[in-house]
Parts: sequence; C-alpha cells; structure tokens
Amino acid sequence: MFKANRLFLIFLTFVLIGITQAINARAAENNWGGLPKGAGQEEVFYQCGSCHSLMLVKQQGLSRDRWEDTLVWMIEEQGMSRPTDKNWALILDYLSTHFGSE
Amino acid sequence: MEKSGVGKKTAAGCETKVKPSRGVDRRTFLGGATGLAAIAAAVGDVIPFWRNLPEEFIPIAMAEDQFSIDGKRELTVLNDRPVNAETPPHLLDDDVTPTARHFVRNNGIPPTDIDLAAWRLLIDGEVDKPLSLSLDDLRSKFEVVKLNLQLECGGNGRAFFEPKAKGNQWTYGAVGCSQWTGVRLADVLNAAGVKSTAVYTGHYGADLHLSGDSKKEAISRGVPIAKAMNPYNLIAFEQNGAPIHPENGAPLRLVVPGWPGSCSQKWLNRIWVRDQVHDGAKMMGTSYRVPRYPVAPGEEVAKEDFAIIESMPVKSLITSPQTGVKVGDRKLLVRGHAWAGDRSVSRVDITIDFGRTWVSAELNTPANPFAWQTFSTQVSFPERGYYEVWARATDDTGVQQPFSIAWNPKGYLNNMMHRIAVYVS
Repeated sequence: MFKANRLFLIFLTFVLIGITQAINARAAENNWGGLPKGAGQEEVFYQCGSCHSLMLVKQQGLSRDRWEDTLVWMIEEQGMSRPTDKNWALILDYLSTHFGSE
Repeated sequence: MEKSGVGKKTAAGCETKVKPSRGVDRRTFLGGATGLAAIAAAVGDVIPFWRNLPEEFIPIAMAEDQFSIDGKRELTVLNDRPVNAETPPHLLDDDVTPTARHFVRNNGIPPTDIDLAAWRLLIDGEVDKPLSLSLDDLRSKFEVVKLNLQLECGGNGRAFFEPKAKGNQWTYGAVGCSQWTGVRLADVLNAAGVKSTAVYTGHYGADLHLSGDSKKEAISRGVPIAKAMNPYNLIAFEQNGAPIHPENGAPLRLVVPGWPGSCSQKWLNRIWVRDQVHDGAKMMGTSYRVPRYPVAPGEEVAKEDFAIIESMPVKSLITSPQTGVKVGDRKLLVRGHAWAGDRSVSRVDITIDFGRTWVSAELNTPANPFAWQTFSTQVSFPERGYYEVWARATDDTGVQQPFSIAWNPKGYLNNMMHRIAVYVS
C-alpha cells in the first residue's frame, strides 16, 4: 500500500508538471497578456493577472515608490498574496521600468 | 498573436461578443511554406483551404480580441476585468443618456443568477424598525418617481494628471444622465424611522470582491445622513423605462446624484444606518479623498491630511461636434451639457480663441434638480485654420471651471475645461 501511494504521488507530480507547462505554454502563446518583454514579465503576469486584467496594469505610469505603495495596499486591503522576496524586487523593477513615471 | 475566443461569459451571465479586428499585415507571416507553417502553428491546426484565403485576410483565430459589452454601444473599454468603460463625448449628446451609452464602472464582479422574487433590500442600524423589502414592496409601498439624474465617477479625467495618478485612466466619459425610475431613499429611510443617533449611511451590494473572497466587499461607501435624506436620491429599479443594465446595477441600485458615483451603490441589498462615519471598503485610507489643502503635482501627502470627497465640482462637456471635426462653414453649432454637483449651473461660456474672448451659450434649466443642463451656441470662425472650442461652466455660487488640474495623489475631481479641435477649411 505504501508503494502504491508513492507511485501515485510520482504520477501526480508528472501530471501537475504537465498542467503547469500547458498553462505556461498558453500564457506564452497569448503573449503574456501583451506585457512587454523583459525580466519579470512572467512574474508580473501571474502576480497581477490573477485578480484583475492586465489592461489595468498597462494603463499606469507610476514611480517605483508609488508602485510599492500600490502593491502593499493590495496585500493589506485587497487580499493579494505577498510575492516572494526575490519576486518582490523583480516585479517592482519591471513595473517601474515598463509602466513608470519617466 | 492572441487567439480570439468564441464568446466569453461574464460573471453577470451575459455573452460578451469578442469581435475580431484587423491587426497585422499578412505578409508579416506568409512567406511560402515557412510562413504558412507558422500560421498553422499559431492557429493550432492545418488550414485545408489556405489557398482560398484572400490576400488581405488574416485568419480570424489570430486577429486581435476586441472586448465589447452586451447592450452597450461604442464605449471605450479601459479594463475588461473588472469591466470599466467610458463614453466618447460625442456619443453623450442626448439630453437623456441612453442605457447603451451610460458608462460602466465595476469595482468587483457583478452577481450572477439573480432571483428577482428573492431579492431583498435590508434597512437596518440606527432605525426604529429595520425593514426587509422585496422589489414588489418597493414598487407598491412607496411613491414611484422618474428623475433624470446625473452620475459622474470621482476619477473622471484622471488620465490627464501629470504625474500620473494610480487607477483607471478615465478621460471625459465617466459621466451620464439617464432617466431613473424608483422610490425616494428618504421615503424608505423615513418608513424605517431614522433615529437621532444616525450619522452616516453604509451601502452594500451583491457584487463580489475581485479576489473571490466572499468575506470582502468590492466596495461599500455611504453618505452623511443629511445628504441621504435629500429628496432627489433614488433607490432605482429601472433605467430609461426598462430593467437596469446588468453592468449598471440590476435589479436595484442607489442613485445619489451630484456626489462621486461610488456613493451610488449598485446591486444594492442593504443600507446600514450608522452612528459614525461609514468605514466600509473604499471609504477609508485615501479612497475618494483629496488633500485638505492645495498640493504640488507629485507631492507626498500624509494620510491624515485627506478629506472625503462630497459634492462633485462644476464641469461641462462639449458633445457636438466631435473633436477633430473638419468643417467647410464659418459657422458651427456647439452643444454640450454642464453640471455642478449639489449646485446648479448658472452660465456656460464658449471661446474659440484660447480664452481671449468668450460668448455666453444658451443654457437650459435642468429637467429636475440634479439633472445635467444642456447648452448650445453658434460660433463664427473669422477665417480658415485650426481652432479650439473651449467650454467653461460657472455654478450658482460663482465658482468656475479651472484652466488646469488641481493635482491630488489619487487623480480625482479633474474639472478642467473641455477643449475640442475644429479644422475650418
């Protein structure tokens, strides 16, 4: 029985990898929601696109500070999950580069 | 390239039409077998009849998606999730805004599977007798009135802020004045019996928070009790004589004209009469608040220095002709609407020479208080060339529209003059 469980878990892992790859492939195919190419494109796609359309993101023109305030507000008030520390910087850099105030 | 969908169901249960539009030059893709293989890969299948594709056609499955909203015509979509769409000024020319042309503003996801018989409006809190009213109760127990009521989003005009403010980048069209049928909010509150401890209302609706968390409200704002008791606020159940559009708050909504649109809760199911300033979603922090004192563009302002927006300021919109029009005549009829929140508009002046000289337009009285007022005038151009027609409204206390934006961090209350371009040949 123990062996069967392990086999099942291995099977499940491959299925999940397959599903993730399929989702990534579809997202890539759909051009990451029209987000400009650059480091952080994928991370922004998933972090931002889970609740609302990326159309909202693409309208903005905010400084890095204001982007940070915005992300903090979304975490504290709007139920957004906190990005990992690594993704936090990546996402902020991406947003302030491509949708910044310069 | 993005694939077009067949049709997406919005949360409101309406099919949104996904209309393909011309996108890219076919030559970009087609260069013999390699190009065809690329298209086939993108489309996701072989194309048996590829030889029949006319030269200028892009396969529909590769054309850009164009999001449109069922029952709305030619609105500019700012966001498709949540749905936010505004009306180009020249499509707001009607004295009464048709439903198909009324702007759409969502903070969350509209409810689906609405059971009209089961819909209830709860009135509770600082009242003698809490009420739970069905749609039939509202129609039968209270006087039903029809009013032309103007609504404007607090962030209308945000797009023109420099530096940019965060949020939906509305330009001119988050405004409308439809005819609403309903019962007076004051009559319903009086039926419940408002206690002397009442300070503010708190509004609740059936729209879902974007995160899907049912414990969070997408938006829940309110107004001071004095504003709530104004006889021109409606609990509305019809828009232009027909059921309210699903994106405009069906089956029941508040219409609290003259204040930011966010005070007019859509998909209304509860009014909580409170003994304190309401602290619901998007009442607090800096939501719908502006600094108490004038600030420089880009200035950082401490949270405690913000005050809640109440009456919207005086503003006007030129709705005819469309900006960029080319005319052959030296004379042109200019039309538009003006409004002033809780106040009325006393005059609208028009200039065609960048503000050097002004003429006073003919200005109608509103159909009823809190309807917008239509203005018109004929302007005369001295010679051919490029002109701008500007409109400047003055309210009944003498306050006028400004020449530039009073910047504030969240991009609210842009009531700068509207300017349109006219090319006279």
